[in-house]
Amino acid sequence: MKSRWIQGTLLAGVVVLAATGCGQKQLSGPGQDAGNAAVQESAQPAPTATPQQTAPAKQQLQVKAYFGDDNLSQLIEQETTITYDAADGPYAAALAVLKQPQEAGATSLFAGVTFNKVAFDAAKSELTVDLSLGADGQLGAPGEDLFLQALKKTVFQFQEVQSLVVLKDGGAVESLMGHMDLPNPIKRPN
Amino acid sequence: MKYSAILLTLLVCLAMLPVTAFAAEGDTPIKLYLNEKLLLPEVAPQLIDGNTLVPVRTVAESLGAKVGWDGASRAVTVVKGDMNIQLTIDKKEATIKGVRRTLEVAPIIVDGNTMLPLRFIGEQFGVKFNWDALTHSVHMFRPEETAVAIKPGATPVTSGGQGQELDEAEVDTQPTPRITATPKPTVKPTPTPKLTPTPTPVITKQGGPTTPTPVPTPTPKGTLAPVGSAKPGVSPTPAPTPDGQIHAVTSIELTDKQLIVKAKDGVLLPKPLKLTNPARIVFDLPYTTLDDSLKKLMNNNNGELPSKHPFVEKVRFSNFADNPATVRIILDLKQPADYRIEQVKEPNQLVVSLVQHSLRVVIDAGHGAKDPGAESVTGRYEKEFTLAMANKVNALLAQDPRVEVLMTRTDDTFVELDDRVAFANDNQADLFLSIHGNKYKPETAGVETYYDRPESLDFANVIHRNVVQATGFPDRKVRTADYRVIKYTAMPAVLVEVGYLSNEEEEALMYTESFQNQVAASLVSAIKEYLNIK
Repeated sequence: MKSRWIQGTLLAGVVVLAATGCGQKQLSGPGQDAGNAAVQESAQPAPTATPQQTAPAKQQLQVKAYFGDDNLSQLIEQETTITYDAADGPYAAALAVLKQPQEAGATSLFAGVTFNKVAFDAAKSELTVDLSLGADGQLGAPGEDLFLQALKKTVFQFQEVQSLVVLKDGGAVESLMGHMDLPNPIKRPN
Repeated sequence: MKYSAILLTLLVCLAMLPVTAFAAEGDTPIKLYLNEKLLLPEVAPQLIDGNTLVPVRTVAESLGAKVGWDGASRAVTVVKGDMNIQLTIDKKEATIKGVRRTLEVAPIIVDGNTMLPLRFIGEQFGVKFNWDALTHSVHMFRPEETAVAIKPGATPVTSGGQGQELDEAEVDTQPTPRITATPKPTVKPTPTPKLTPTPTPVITKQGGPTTPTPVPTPTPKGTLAPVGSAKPGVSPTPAPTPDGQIHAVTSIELTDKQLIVKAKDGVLLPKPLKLTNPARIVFDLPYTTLDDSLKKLMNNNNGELPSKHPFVEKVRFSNFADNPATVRIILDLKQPADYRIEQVKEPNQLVVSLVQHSLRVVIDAGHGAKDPGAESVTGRYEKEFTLAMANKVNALLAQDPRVEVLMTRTDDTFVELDDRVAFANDNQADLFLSIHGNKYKPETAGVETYYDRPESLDFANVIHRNVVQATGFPDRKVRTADYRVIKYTAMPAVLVEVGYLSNEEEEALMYTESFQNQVAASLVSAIKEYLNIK
């Protein structure tokens, strides 16, 4: 697993390089963002967001989202700014970004997915995501692999989420698309 | 460590090189790993005319072979055990174990090193290998038992052997899990045994696709074990706890059908083991010792009995181990056979039936019923494609009486992934093939073949080569992934994504009879090629 993650990192790096040339730091792969402190800080939802004076507090946050590359080999990381209700938390808004790749060369793995419910249980540090797969939602084996990776990376960028429960049409399933395990809950990787 | 090095290299590249530099990947040295250990040859492996050439000396010596060089005749000799390869530089003629062969590619010299195609070395030394384009590296896996099997000490013991020979020879060749040195564990524990016996997959023999018959679940009466697989996880008998006493074995007999072993009292707790090269079935009986009547038959510590069984050459026995005292009984086979431990009333008796070994292949049609799989570009479902393919493979493969085909589904049924795995494992299948159709962008196209455990790599390579050829689709390579059905099965297991249902051209073909027949035939010939029953 470790090697695959690093391979992913490597490829992401190569893809980024090929697509953008050197030096565009905001697009660098997940293994290279250690120095990108601004991003990490802004990914902490509540504290850094600037509170608004008006009552329905809209907050803004820069988040990472993950997409398939042209070759269905690796994830591509992109950053975008989401706006969300403070009461709801940033999770649903962040997951919604997975449906909208911002750049060429990135393909959404969630095009046929409907997120029915996204709820964070602060006491358990657990995020529950109930989704449905539309006609176009079910991918092949490598697509499901990347889909799960993208989902996990997107969710676990929020440090407060320690575990993730994924439900399909409201229920727990052995596998989302018939190839990969779907452990319940999925624990935050160390 | 090595990854951080690669990462660092990449970062340096990122900083220094123009983007186009990555096109010149031929300049990057190819890395060579054996059992995930980086080898450091004097000359890096090279890609020449589509062949990966590796330095013979580095690779052969890391496999324990001796390499000789005769400058005058430009001859290279590689010797390991009974393996003897004689090569001449720039000549395609070679002698392998005294037999003349023509190589696809002649050995060449690069910077003073003899280079040979990796494929050749892999074939000769039973090394599995994989080309990882991403890290530009070659990964070789040497299963420890293969390495042991070709060492000279593993030759069968002749009758009347001296002293402990019998014991040592058998010990050396045991493919027990403790000596597997592959990078991944060969048998992975199932983390959550949430297997339920209820949703019963169906078995069909002889291609009766719509008549599901009940699964021959391994009843307590007996468990079949295929040849060459000592599966530690599959214990044929529920093991009662020993009483700690040592019990005397009073008789060992092989009739024309069964092995019958009797102890004076106590409970016999046989530990069966199947060995290949040469084929043997071994039963260890912990907490037992041979009684005087059997000891009298022994020459040193080796006893031998004649066989009335058509599959068995002879029976050997010994007081094999001391702690705990263990009697070992070895059946030297004339031909591969399966054993079945019969349930008997007397706990101090062991009755084993020997039956013809039949090769069992599980064909797994991906998805089914409520899990439709991917939707194709014309709105058809993947589950239709996989079922049609699986049924066609079944019909073709079942024509061969040497193979028993087991289907995880033969109609539009939903089968959980875990049940597919359990079905294959419970039936102790020799091979597992899962058939799927892929989906991504409209322009994505081609065949992908996936494996997870190193012992599945050979099978993956054979399947992939055949399917790429039969489909004519782009070669998207053999890849690794931990899909459940190929991860937790206990036999070589492969998942093939035949083509992309999201690609117009591939999809149109994938739902035609003729194309499906062609691919089914290629899968069958791949299976037969792998099982060596062409």
